[in-house]
Amino acid sequence: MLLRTVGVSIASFTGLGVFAGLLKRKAAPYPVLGEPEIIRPPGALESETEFLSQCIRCARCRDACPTGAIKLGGFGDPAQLGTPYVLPFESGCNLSLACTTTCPTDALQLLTLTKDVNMGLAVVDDRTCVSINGTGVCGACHTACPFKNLAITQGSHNAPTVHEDHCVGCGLCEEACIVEGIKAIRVFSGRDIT
Amino acid sequence: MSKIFTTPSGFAGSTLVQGLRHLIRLAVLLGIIGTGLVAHYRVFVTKEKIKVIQSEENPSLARQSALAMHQYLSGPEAQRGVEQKHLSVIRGNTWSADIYGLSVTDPLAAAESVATSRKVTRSLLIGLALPVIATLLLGRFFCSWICPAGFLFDIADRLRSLLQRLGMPTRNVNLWRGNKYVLLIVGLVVGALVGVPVLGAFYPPAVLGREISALTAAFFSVLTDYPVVTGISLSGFFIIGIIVAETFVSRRLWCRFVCPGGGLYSLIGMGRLTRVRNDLQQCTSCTECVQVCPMGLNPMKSTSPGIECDQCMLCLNSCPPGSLSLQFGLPKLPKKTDA
Repeated sequence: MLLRTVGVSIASFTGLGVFAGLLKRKAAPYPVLGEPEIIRPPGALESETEFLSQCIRCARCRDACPTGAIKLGGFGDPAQLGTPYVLPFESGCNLSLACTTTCPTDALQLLTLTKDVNMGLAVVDDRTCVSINGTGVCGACHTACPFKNLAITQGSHNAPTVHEDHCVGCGLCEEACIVEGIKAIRVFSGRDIT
Repeated sequence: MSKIFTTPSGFAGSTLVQGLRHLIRLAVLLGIIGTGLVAHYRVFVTKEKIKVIQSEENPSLARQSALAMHQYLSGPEAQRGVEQKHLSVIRGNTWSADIYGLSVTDPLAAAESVATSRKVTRSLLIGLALPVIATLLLGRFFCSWICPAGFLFDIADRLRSLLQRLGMPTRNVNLWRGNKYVLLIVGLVVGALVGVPVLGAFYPPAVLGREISALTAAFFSVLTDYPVVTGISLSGFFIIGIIVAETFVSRRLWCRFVCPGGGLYSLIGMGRLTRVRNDLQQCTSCTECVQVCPMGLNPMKSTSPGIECDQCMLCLNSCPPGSLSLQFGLPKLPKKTDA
């Protein structure tokens, strides 16, 4: 009986170890210039390893999200299996904070003020931004920004400037950006992906 | 003071109760599908609203998308309070659910989260309260009354008996029951070492919830023209694999021998108050109950069929002399005086 237990233990240890290794694999996210980063929903724990250990992959935040901004990692996705992430170019976060009220493990911590959100920071690409490179007058990101004139201010020809201390990284500007393909304003989370 | 309440004979095991059991599990399964559909439908409605706003104003493309976002975000939709807006729905699945604001978390999910993060949070304890109390009272009832995967495995069981009736050979492999406890402990230890919960990745109720919501997302992305990142993973094949194995290799292979979640429920429900008891004076040792038990247990023992009984109550109905009954009382029996 003891031998059997030990055998089963060793076998399942090896199996689960390999399995955990598979879970930890990371594919490159969408093709961007710059480091690959995953944007987690509002209130996510600062440390990525802490977030991954506390999140139970229950999909409650995804079901709560009114705009479908939260995606869950699946096969071939940048995020780990079942973990929530946001692809702002497809759908930005409208800061309803519904996901933070429903998380069962506080991996997404409860937030009541939208200014406390820290998902990342929007960065403008001067080369492709229509208003900056002189090919047009746009201002879409400024209009979409929930912290207008605080997080994004406009210069001549509606050229946007992002202010770090007010930008919460919701990604609405990235969603609204009119540049095709890789957007001219993108959100970077600065999360350490190991 | 052991026996407080005994079910009237023939009631607990009746077809009515069995029908209710199947109905509840079917409702849970349909509920998971419905939750996914409702969640994606709400997203669809949102996107459609934005589209309508975009089509009304028609300046440049840039103004269009900007105006749409602005109007949607500053409209009545955005100003409604968070509570009012979000309490009226069911979210999640059997792994962890938010039912009209009531948080329910699978003990295995909680155990894993605690093992990997070494932190016990308040939300986790709130979510644990209901399942743990229910398990303390009723034992491993989740497996036979709620688990949607168990429902599918029961269908595999039916398929199995159909195949047997048609004369197809089916094997019934028996493994060591302790596997599930070993897997539970090993999974928690590996999770704690790696820092990533591993059991949830293949625990059937969790997999089922995840895959169903991914499939509903895929369904909506086919139905509508906007792209949805579906999050489909290959773990759905694992469930299919278990169903095939349970049909051809062994009856309720996963639930009996492997399931770490069932193991945890068994351990929590060790001193459960509700259990199947056998009246030895009436028992004729006909072994009907042993054959009918999906968990492969022996309810003929006088005390109870053991911690792995999942309270499906099938044995109560099968007992010809009616010596089995479901009793509610304190775990310890008084000393038996009969031979």
